[in-house]
Amino acid sequence: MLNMLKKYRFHILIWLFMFGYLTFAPDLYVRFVLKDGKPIQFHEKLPAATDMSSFWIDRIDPVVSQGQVLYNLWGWAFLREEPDQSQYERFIVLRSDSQDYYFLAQTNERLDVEEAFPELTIDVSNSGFSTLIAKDTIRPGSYHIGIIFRHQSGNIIYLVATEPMLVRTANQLQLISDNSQP
Amino acid sequence: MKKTFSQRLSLEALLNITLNRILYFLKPVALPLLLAVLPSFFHYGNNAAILLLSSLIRMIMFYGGVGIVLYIIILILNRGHSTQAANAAFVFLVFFNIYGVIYDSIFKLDIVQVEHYTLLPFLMLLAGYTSWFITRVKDSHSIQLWNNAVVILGVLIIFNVIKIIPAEIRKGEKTTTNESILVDANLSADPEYPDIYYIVFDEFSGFEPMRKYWHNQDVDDFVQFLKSKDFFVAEQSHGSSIDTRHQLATRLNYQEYRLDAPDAQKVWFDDIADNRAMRYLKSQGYTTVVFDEMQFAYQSAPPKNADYSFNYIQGDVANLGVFFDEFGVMIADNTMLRSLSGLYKLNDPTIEQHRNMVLFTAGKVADLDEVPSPKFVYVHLMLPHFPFMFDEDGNFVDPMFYQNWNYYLGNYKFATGIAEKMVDNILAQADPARPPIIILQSDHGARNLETESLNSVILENFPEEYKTSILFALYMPGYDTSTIPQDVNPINTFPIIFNHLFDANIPLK
Repeated sequence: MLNMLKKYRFHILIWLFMFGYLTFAPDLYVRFVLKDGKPIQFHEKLPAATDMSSFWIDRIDPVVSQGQVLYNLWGWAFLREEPDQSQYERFIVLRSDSQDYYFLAQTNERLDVEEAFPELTIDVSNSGFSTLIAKDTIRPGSYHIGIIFRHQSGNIIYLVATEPMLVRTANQLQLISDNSQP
Repeated sequence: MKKTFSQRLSLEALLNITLNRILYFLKPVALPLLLAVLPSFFHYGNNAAILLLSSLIRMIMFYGGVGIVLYIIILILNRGHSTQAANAAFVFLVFFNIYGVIYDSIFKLDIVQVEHYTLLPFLMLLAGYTSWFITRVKDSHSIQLWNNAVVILGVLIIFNVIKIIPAEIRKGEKTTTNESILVDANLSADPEYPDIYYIVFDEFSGFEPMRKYWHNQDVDDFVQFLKSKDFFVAEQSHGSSIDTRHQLATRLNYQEYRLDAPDAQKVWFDDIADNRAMRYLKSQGYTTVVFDEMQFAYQSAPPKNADYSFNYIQGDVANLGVFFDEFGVMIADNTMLRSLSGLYKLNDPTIEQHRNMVLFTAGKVADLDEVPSPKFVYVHLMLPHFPFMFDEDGNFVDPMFYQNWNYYLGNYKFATGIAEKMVDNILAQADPARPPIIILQSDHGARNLETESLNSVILENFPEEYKTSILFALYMPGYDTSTIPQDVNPINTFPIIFNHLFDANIPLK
């Protein structure tokens, strides 16, 4: 046995290296290659979910950004009682039993939302949001999607719990929606 | 000086030795060469009716080169043992050719994470080791393996060639089912006949699906634009199928075609190329002009018989920039080249050509002073048909979304802008005393078709009846459009016009 190991040590080493590479390559990719779609640190304690918001999670699309395959989560959300929505920055939180991931949301124009709520007196034309998520940065599992509104002063935080869930499988990120909306 | 017998003998011997040596190295290359080109023959054989032979030739040249280069590399590493090198190249090419299939299978199983940066090196190492083991097989077994593999691959290629030949012959033949045109002998050419513009936007959805499914309120602005220009707009018009070729054949010849008829596709192609409507207009003294992108989707579509043609033409074989057309991409996506797909997809010059054709047509369609009137201008743009490469401003989106139906709307909005531009341009240059006739149509609606691409994303809960909902707008001054129903059958497009202009008395269906 030992003689065999000695005779084929070179080939054994090559295959050990390959299996080591296969094991650690995804982590190395996230650490050294991936630039976008990574979760951020969010240190504030989250409050209980509020029902003061109207929102909708539209869809999730694969997107290529600088050669990286990411996912873009689209939707819209606004605080019904807030006259100046621009005072709040928004985050997306993916929550499972064991882990939370936070992503910064980018604001998008949504004129269709403004038209859908003609009775509103507040400006919701920029209620749209999108956020880039790299699937390699979150563990496989199911996550509830939450929307966080944080006032620029940092003192006020609202958490909106949505119905759709984000499911990370081995190779995909999927939005599971039951099309419900408050 | 005359050579002696012994000198001639040694020269002949030297030649024989050299020839044998060359054959020793050349003959075994047949095996990797056959395997390298087999996928191209196979896929071409399954799609010959809609592809060009030049696509197959390009791929045979490319993959044949890959097979030869691989053989030479292994031959050098194997110190000149040619049969073993050929067998090793054959084994490596097996892994090379099935890489894409393996990747897709693991991806779809979704149990283990698969990425090109892991699967490719792993499979290359596995292929390398398997090839190396093959070179250690005894000579007699090597030769037997080589012989058997060459025979099997040869039979497979011959089988595919047998499929291809009749398809190529049929493409070269011309058939038509058109009846003779019924022409009123009392008609005479009138120099005051209006120019006629028949503009087809492929896969342009009707307005009801836009409002109810996409909640796209911009479509009302487009309808308002058309009505403000005195267009009749049919809100409930539907085509009889979702096949472009079937629909165009039906409308240009104002006759029904069976979807399941033998050689149906070829008949449609031929009847589109030489169609009744254009022949009739020619008989009335019209000059025919064609702006046609049909070959963007159907490479083997024959060009239309017209006096002036502005066609989308894919780059020729000599242009390496179009080396990977749609057929080439399909082949490459199954191989290890899939890991480099960004290179041959992002830089696809046919995309640039398509955009150029769209923008060129939008401007040129109203700038035809060199064409004598009356003229019939036929436009067929593959827009907003996929690939969904444009956003609403006409900028390119990433190739990853070309088959993502969530990006159809951007393409649609861009198409709307092009339509408005064409209408404005045509009306601006028209003689008020001789206003044109303009028909804006689509062959079918948004079909929400899924493709085999991993990037294919379809719309959820898309109603089946929306797939045949089409654009139908008609500008025909002096005609009482209240007689046209909102659910007008597009097969009556040309009969309506010909009956109005020429008293042709063509019965409406």
